[in-house]
Amino acid sequence: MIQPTKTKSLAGAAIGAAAGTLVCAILASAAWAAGNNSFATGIVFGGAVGIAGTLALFLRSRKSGAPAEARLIGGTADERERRVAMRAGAFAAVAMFAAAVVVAMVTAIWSLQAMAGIAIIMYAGLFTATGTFAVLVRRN
Amino acid sequence: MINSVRALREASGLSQAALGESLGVSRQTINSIETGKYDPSLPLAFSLARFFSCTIEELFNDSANQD
Repeated sequence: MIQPTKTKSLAGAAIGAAAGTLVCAILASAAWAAGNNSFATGIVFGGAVGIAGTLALFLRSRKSGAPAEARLIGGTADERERRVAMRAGAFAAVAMFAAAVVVAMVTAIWSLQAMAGIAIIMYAGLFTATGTFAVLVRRN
Repeated sequence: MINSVRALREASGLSQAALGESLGVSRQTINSIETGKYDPSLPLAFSLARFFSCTIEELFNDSANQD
């Protein structure tokens, strides 16, 4: 039998969610203390959405007929889905590199806030990874 | 790559989901293999061959690469 990635336990998922919440809380507190209130709010909302989405996919992965996205999060993805995830990660890396070049050029020509530049690069990676995975896993 | 997975599976009276469960892969992966969209890894190809009691050469045909 082909071994899938190690299935994650409910306790493991709970620990992951708790650790994620803790990291978000620390980052939001640091941002708040530094006076970046809107940045802190973004961390809280973004972190909450990310953790809730991940937990929802994890719970879905424990039921039969789960989509590839849920199986990947739940640790039950097979070799094809893991390969697609790796390709999506590679696409995301290229997209982030391209975004970094664009951000560097824009920053050099017009003064762009560092925070905005980082956000553009991060979102380029996030959307490329999730979008590419969703498309490739259904086409391949 | 052309393969006879679908023919052998249907001859065995199995669904894609049942075959996938037997081999530890998803139904979608079995479908992708059958339609030639995905070439399985060597371990999975061996598992398929073992499951259908045949050789990998009997299961997969790379005639497109042979002159």
